[in-house]
Amino acid sequence: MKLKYMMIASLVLNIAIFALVFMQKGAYVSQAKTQYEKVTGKYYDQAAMIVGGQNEVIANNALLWNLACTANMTAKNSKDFATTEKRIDTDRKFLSPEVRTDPATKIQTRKVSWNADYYIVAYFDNTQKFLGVNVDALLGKAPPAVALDADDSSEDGDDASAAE
Amino acid sequence: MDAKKIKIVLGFSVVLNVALLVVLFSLKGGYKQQAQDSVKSSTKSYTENVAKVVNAQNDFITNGNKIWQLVFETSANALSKVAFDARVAALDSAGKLSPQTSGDETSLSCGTDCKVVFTFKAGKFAGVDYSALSKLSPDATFSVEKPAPFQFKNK
Repeated sequence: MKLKYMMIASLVLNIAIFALVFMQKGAYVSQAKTQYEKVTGKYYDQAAMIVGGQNEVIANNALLWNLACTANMTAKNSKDFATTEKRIDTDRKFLSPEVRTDPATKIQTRKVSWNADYYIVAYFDNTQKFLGVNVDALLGKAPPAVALDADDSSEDGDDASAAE
Repeated sequence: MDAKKIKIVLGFSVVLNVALLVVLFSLKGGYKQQAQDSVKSSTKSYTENVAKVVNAQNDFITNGNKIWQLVFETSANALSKVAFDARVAALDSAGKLSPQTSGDETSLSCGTDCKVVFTFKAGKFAGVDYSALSKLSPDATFSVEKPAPFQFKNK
């Protein structure tokens, strides 16, 4: 009788081990899949954030470069510049331009940006004639000098209305 | 069932148990190694693909900025062809912008199907077409794919 129970127990053990042999591969595949998804998922999130951020910089800086280069070739005065600015910024990525006038030189500057780090500064004389654009911020150089103690206005003002 | 038959079945069963345990443990080591290798190779393959996108984007930022700078300087100062060539050489010593001159036009490469064309007449700046560079969509050009479903690679 004792042998009979031992035989039954051994046969049950046969089946259990047999099942384990076939199940263990699935367990390892499952663990591997979880590990892969965890590592690549985290990597994807970080990479997508970095690449997306860089894409935004490329796209918006292209708008600023386009404005600076187009102004170089076509703008005669501040109205032309503001018109070009409006035409290029169709999706309204630019922040309100900062317009300042140096009381001593009467040179007017118009800073066009899409964030604090990337901007261009256009210069106009006292007759609103276009003098040029400073693109140092786009080249990662020191920020251009802006008139100190100048009259400030942070909107399009006359120029913007002229562009419309 | 008589005792003799039970003994035979029990003996066979015990031997089978031992054999199955040997198989179980030998496969276990193999599966573990395969799973680790599979995760390692799949993860490496994915991260390498992502790195390619990031590197391509970094190259584009570097080269695109150089081209924008050349467009800006050339248009702002109406550079002559000689001065332009000197600036290209200074900014692009590695020749990554692949400058190519045909007649009055000199093109710089900003990527696949992307060229900026400078026109010089009698050695003087006459214009530049940078529409391809300004219209290029970075989101369409540089995007990170989601990881592919895991594939267990059996050896």
